[in-house]
Amino acid sequence: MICSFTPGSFGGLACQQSSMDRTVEIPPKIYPTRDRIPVPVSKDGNQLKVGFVITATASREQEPLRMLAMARSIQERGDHVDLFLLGDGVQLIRGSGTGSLDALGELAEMGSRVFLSGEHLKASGADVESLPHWAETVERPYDILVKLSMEEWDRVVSL
Amino acid sequence: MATREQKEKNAEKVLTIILTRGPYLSDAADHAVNTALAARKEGYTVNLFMYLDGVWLSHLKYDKDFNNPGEWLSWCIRKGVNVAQCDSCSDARDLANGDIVEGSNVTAVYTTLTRMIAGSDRVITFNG
Repeated sequence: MICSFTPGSFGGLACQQSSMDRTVEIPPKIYPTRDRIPVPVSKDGNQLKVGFVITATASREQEPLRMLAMARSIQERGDHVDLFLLGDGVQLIRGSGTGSLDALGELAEMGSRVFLSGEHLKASGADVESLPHWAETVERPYDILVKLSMEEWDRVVSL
Repeated sequence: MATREQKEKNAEKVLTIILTRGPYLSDAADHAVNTALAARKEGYTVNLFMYLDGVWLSHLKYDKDFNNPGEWLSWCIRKGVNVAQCDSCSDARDLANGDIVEGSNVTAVYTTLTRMIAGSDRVITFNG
């Protein structure tokens, strides 16, 4: 079978079977879109509660910012997202030119709770008094993380 | 702290923690062991699986004068956390049985971790 990059009527490849001299249309691969992905729902069938646990800082890598974008998508879909910043993840509250502070603020406005590990915040030298009003500092971060993960959230996304 | 009744109820719930980073490279190992201990304190059933560079955590066997996540890993084992590590990852790093903390099960990732995940209520991965 010989295939060329000539788009067919389906936008796929036009392939020619040399022995039979017949052109076969191959439809393009259909990738799932947001509408086609089955959306899990919470136990009571209502809003899904998703917890994002972020332990990396945006100044080092892009993943935390991608996670915030994903969190926003979930929030826009009508589900609930909480963010738990642990370890280096607390640096996201500083923004440091990455836009993470604005992204967190927007998520908080949309209803997300933003938890920050108090011990890691202090270790980072951040001024706890000057935190945005929507930031919730937790003093026993691992106890609270376990409680949220096991009792409140339906799904956990972690980095 | 949970009551005895609450702990008995919590024991039915399973948390699996996956660690993919080695100690001292980042806080990932500290997060993993501290979360495991916090969950055990509340009575939950906890699995801790060390994968990729995470297996180095099992190599910290001795006392240190500074922060020692290996000591917390030993506590996890003593407190009843099911601790396991990937056999291929351990082989690749020449971590033989004598090199790793007692109580960590060296096992196949595709069977053990799959079973752990399938049987868990929640999974948290620490790789940051």
